[in-house]
Amino acid sequence: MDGNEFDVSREIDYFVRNVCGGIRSKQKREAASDEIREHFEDAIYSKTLRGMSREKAFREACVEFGDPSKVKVMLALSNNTFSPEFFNECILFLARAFFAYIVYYWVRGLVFLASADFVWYCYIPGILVLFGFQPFRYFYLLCSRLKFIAKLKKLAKEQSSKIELLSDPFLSLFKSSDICDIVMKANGECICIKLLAFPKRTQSLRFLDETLYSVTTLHSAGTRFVNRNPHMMMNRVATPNLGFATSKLRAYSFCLPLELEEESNIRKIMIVDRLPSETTYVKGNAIEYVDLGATLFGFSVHSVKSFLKTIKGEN
Amino acid sequence: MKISKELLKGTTGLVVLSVISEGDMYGYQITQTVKARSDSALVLNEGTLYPILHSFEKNGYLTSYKDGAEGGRERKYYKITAAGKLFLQTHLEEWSYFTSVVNKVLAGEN
Repeated sequence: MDGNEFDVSREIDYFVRNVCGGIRSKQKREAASDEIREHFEDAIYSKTLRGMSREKAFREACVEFGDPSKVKVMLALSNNTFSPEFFNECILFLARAFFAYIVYYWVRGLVFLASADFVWYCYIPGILVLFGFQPFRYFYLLCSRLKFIAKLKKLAKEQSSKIELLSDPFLSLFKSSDICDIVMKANGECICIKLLAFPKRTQSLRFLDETLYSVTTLHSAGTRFVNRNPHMMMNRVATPNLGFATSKLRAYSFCLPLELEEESNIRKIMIVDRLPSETTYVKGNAIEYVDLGATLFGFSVHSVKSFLKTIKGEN
Repeated sequence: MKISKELLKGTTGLVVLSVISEGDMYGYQITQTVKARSDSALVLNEGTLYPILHSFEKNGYLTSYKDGAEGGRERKYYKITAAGKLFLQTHLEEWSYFTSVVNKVLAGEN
């Protein structure tokens, strides 16, 4: 075969491998690949019967198939039994606990007789490193959240209005982030706040339809970039064209808590702190750049500062 | 007339399950049946179809088996289960109630 000739079978294989790549179980991945490959063959066959070339039929079938990156995530979600986060966290925790246990007995056996305190001087920092400072991370998040709420309350007090907190800032840290992080009532108005924190301005935040689709950390050297999952690096799902999307897409869709669905007077705020330099919203083929004050899925995008300013300005 | 995505949301699963309830089918066959029955008004995107089929299978509403078709190629057929029939029945009732209510509102009846 001529090297430049369009090999439809190879292209189908490539397409199918990409689309099914997010399915973790090899058996399920192969079954899904076979099924989609069959589908392509059927679609191409029926198109060629109408006089279309195989290459054109393949291209048309690809368009009809839909956005491959989105399908990839959907297939991963519908086929992967365990949430990857849960699975990875469990394995990691067990491995860390086992390692900590071994190290403790080894160090105690070696140096305990020399100095009992020495064990703890070595052991406690070791454990902190092993467990990735996770409790400290939660503590930091809780503190920042409480600080923000205190700021809001102070502001409300200055303006003789009252803020009533409807959600528990501590418990909401551990909940899946598909609902708002802070829910409060101020002057009869219900305010739902979704918090998204990004430490670097160089991160690029991309929204697709109604979902936070991907976060890309731009590489400082030229056009190369490193893709990162918005939540956890290890749970990423590779997509052919759009970098990496999270396999927990649903967790990032922005919906209201069930108990508030009946409320009519709801103001939805998304606080992105700090708003990455490149925040885009992709719908169909259109790409819009999002700035502070813009509205995304009914949520107004703000930074902490600009949100506090709007409250000040309104009252 | 093209039907908007918002209106289609949530009904795709119902359509797919209802088509399969009439006889075992494979993916491509489902898309073609839906297309033909709706006079091309409902075009099931394949990328939407397979995740739905797989999640229905995971939830026990569908089972699948492999079978060779006329062309000799082996295809994955989907078959509705008892749980799937129950699910379909519940959702069909819900759907007919919903459409009657919406029609009432649109017609301006009390």
